[in-house]
Amino acid sequence: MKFLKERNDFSYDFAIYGLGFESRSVALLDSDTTEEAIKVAIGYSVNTDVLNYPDNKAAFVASNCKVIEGDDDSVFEKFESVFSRLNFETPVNVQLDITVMSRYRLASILCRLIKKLPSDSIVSVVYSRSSFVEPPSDSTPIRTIGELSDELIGDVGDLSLPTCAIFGLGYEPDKALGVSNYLDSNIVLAYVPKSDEERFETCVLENNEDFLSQLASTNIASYSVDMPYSTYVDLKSLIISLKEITRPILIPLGPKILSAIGAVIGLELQIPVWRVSSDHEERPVERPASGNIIRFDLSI
Amino acid sequence: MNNYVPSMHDAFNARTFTIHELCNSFIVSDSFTKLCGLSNTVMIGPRGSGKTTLMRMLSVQAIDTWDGELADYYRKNIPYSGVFIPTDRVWKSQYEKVKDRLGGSHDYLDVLDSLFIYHVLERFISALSYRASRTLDKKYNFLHINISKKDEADLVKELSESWMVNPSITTFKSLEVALIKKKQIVSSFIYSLINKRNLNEKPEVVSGDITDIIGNSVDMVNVSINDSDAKWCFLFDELELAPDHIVQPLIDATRGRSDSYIFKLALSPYHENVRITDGPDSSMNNQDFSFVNLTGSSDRSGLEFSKQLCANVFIRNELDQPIDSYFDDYVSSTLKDDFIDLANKDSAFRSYLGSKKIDIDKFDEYTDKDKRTTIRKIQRVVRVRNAYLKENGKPNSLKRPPDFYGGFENICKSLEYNPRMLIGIMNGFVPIIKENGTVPIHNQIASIVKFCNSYRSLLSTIAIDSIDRRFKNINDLIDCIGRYFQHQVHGEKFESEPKGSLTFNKKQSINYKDVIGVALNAGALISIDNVDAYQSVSDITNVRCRLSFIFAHHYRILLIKQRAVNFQEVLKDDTVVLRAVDPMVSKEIDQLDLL
Repeated sequence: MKFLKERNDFSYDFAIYGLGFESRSVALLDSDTTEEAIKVAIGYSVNTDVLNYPDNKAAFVASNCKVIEGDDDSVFEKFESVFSRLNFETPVNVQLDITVMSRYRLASILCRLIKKLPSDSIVSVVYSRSSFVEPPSDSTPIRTIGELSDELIGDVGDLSLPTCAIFGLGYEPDKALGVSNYLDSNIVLAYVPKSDEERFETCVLENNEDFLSQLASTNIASYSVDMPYSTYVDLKSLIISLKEITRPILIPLGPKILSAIGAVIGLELQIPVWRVSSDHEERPVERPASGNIIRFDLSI
Repeated sequence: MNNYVPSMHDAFNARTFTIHELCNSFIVSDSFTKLCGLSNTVMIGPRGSGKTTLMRMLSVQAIDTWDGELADYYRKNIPYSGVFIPTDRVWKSQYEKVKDRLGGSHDYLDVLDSLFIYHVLERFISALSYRASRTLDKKYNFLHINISKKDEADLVKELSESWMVNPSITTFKSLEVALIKKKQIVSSFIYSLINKRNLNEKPEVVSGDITDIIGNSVDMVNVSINDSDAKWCFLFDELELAPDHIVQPLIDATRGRSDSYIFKLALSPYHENVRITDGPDSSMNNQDFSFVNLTGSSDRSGLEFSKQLCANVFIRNELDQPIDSYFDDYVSSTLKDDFIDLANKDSAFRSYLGSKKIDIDKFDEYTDKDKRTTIRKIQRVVRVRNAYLKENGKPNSLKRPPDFYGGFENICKSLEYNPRMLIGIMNGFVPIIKENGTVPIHNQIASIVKFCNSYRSLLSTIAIDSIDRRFKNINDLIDCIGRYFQHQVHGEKFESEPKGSLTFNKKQSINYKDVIGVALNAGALISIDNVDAYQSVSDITNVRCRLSFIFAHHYRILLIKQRAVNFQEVLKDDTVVLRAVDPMVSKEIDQLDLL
């Protein structure tokens, strides 16, 4: 697998979308590059009647998308069935739209694609950034911490080496603080997302003030949400050097593009990549598309 | 001197210190003296209470590195070689998840389990290697072993065969490296196994009861070094983070007596499934067992320890005056003024005084004996209640807590003499002192408030399951308790002895015991009356606890131990069921995980 530096235009054979309640769920649906593609939209089993979910579903159906809905196990089973019927034997181009996929889903599907697609296939991971929406005002308790997907459980490693937790920060209040406290890692590093949306960055810093105040400035770095290749190179080289003296674990909170990049690095370096969730404590919120599309390409 | 100004929360974690840093900053406490004894020991304490520091300081490397008169004393009196064995939550979580994934594949469980055993053996051989080193520039040669190269080679060969590892040469160092490599081989094999990748041949691993393996290995070493009386001490830090099936056997092993090794086990305060006391031959009935509780130090020993610890922080920052001199003290009103002031604005207090036949106008005429039984008993309540009432008797919403929550001693008390927190807050004071010469009282109060807010944010992230929507996280639980205690001090009725600690019913505690356990482990609740605290490790009905004093100013309560109330009365609802949420237990994730 290779993370591609150059960005080429591809015509896709297979396009996978997420079906959710945010209007940006369909932001990438009408694209010339997927005109000829076989399309699948993966929906949910809950919150299927809130906000834009019904409209989004109708839009996918109207675009000849096969819609599969259900809980994680059932959609993975249905997806597997669709995927195996396609029986790709020669290199194909696949677009994976992670915009409204849960982290678990995006990582699980990405890992499956990497594992099962023929060599020289292309996987383009695309993400439609949302317009700025205020973060939740209160911190929500952490109810689930675990591997991003089954494939990303990581190498158990040597207990004599100290743990180094690398957090990608989001703008939810104190989420990183809670996870960091729970894991009580020996070394903690923070990756702060940067983009042209200044309000987002301000919220990230404000809502992680307690967490960041625990860290030396040398343990805080930033990454550009819009530059996935640079983020990939920086993060991977950091983790490679950390692996010699620590057991690194990556916890990509914040923009989901980092989760996708983290999944790739996790597979390559056999490190654990974890997700965090407050389960049903968070309320459904509409996040419209900003028009900013982020993409990275993998050659399998 | 560098110009780095540490942040208020600057991480202090004994696990990340080098041995030299650890020794240079170490302060001997009563707990350390107790822990040093030649007995099996269980030590409990919440996060940051100094468990790791104490355990690491008993390692043979630390004892040999530690300078000073006290260090000489301990070097003379510690007759064993300490083997420090760290654990880690991330490692444990990965281990348990892999174990789940392997499910019924018992063929491979011995391989997985060997990872922890090899970890223990590696630490053991590291301590042995240190003792026997001919090349290290050791300062004190603590328990140094003179072993010939031939004897070393014979022992390495024997241990290697027993442990199924292949050192490239027959030296202790090479054996240590072989153990590290073995862990990598085992770990890679497990990774391939669960990811269904091409599997190498199943590695041959050491397996069996961990205490037997330790015992046999120690015997082999002692015979080889011609010291059958040599004693080894295995220091398991954060034992709850060792694989589950190893925890109870190690605790049970503290009941027995071995001539060649002892165990010292550090745990957080509450563990439902850990039994220290069950059975007639339980650990506590054994004279060779001791129990160290780092929770709720006495004020005397806690303050003494805090003074030394904080002075060390300041000295490292070139502030070498007596520690108290850096802290402005609050201006205290007189007892008489507080009584008169409150009596003037609080009818409930006036009624109380009347019922006790206390005449404020004759305050100066009371003898010390009179004051001891009536006036002094209520002075703290009077002061706090008075501070939060306006002249017209209405509640006074102060912009910041009153000054009497400040002062060096109260800061230490508020932080429960917790070394990690103390170092954090003192680091924050360093730049203030460098600028002002002292820490003004408003800065002291502001720091306590900031620490409390930060701590409450953290508690808000620890989830609780309950149908009662009052309780979504541990902070909600603490808030419920805090509000009750606040009402005791500031309610309509004047309570001369307000309730400020909790006890738990045997019958009803089943509805919330693990949540109370989580709060104890987080240090939000502090167990008191600790004579039999070892019983509380698995049973909260043996616990009497109070709120951590870090919340005292927030809930306007007293910095002293107070009367107990049953938790059920605080809940005001017999049907409330609270369950702790284990974030590591897999749950279905839905589209709300979208942020």
